[in-house]
Amino acid sequence: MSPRERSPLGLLLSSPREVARRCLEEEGLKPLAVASLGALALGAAVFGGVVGSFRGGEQVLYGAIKVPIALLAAIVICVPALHGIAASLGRAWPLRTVIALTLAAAGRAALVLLAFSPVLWLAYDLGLGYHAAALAATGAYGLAGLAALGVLLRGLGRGKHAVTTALAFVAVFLAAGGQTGWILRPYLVRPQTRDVPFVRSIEGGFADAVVRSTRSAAGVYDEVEREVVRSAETAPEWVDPEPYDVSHEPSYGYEREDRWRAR
Amino acid sequence: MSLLDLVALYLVVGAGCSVVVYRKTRKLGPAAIALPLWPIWAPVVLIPDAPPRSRASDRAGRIETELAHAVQAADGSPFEVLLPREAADRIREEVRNALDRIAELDSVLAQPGFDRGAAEVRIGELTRAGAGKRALQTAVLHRDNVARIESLRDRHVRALEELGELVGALRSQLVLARYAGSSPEGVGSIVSEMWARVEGLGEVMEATSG
Repeated sequence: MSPRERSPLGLLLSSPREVARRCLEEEGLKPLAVASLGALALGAAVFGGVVGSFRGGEQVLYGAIKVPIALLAAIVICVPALHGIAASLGRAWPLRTVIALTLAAAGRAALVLLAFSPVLWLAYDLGLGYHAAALAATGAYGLAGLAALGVLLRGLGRGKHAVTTALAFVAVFLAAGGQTGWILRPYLVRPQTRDVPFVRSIEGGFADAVVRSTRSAAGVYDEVEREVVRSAETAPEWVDPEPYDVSHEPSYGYEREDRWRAR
Repeated sequence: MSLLDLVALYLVVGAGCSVVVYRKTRKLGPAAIALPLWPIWAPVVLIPDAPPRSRASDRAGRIETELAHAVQAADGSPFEVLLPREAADRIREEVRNALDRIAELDSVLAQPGFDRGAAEVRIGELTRAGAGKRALQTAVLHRDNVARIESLRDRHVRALEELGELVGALRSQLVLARYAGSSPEGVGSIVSEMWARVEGLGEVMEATSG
């Protein structure tokens, strides 16, 4: 079956080049957008549910609801900026083309997340630790991002400023996606956390957290953090000895993870 | 303005877009999607897709590009008088008119009953069935009309292609004349031939619309 005869969902899965062509030539954009939105909603919901299953309970539902919302909100925020960036770097595409290309890229990424979900679920079920679980989920996101990049790069083609445009697109999406994700956190919650809110109160922002975590990783702490780290270092063994992370859930005195998971 | 105020404003605009989408599509599904996702959904559902590409539209696109380059090459040179911007605008208009006419003929030929092959088959069936003379004459007339419409469309497409070749040649001649100092006569003769084609394109369309 030639690419032109495949359904939009089939094209998202197997023919990013044809998807990009249809977006650029504004051919069948509505069915492609519907398929992309459907793939995004399903893939992101399943992936969010799997990440939430690390704790289980209501966090599975919360994750399934929040991950698609975070992705869609990021797309809604980004698209006007991407349209402007493309136009200023020599690609005066219609807004519909930018919307379709972004949705198709995100839909393809969500299908990759859907594919990773069973593997991640198995890994969590086999007793993956909290930080390893976070890394695994991040890795899946990274690979899904590469799949999205495939559609984007094919849409940009080999003309002038293609690489600059792609980098600008990625930077804008990372910033918007990071912030929308931050607003709707938490996603991956420790199993022993007793009460989990649907959304934590907004404290700082994604950029603040990145800067703070980078400083903490380099051993640079501000006054409050220094005091907490000192307390953690002198605390009894049953308190988590890891350095305080400002993004931790506000429940203290829990057991070490491996003892809990051995239950 | 707090985050809640922003969300409320977003949803109010979304509600307005939902109404517009519903009035256009008469379907609840697209209208429901427009409420939360109006910035990315409304342009997709409210604006129709671009017309499908065809050989003629590709050709017209190339003509416009070549024309723009030819005008740029002539700008500020002694040859500007041969191809001023107003002349280029007129050529673009004729090309667009030709493209519209080709699209109209294509849509006519795409309608049921305008297939020449089917018309031939119909004549054969009527002949074998021993149909009356009038029925056969009508079928033959229909087939000939379809053939004439196809021929008319092909003439338009050929005229557009010839014009495209000339504009391409004009552009290269202008660039050569500008940088290598070739004679103005070479440019002038191409311009004359190009104008003859443009006039011819206009005459074809006047003949078909008359």
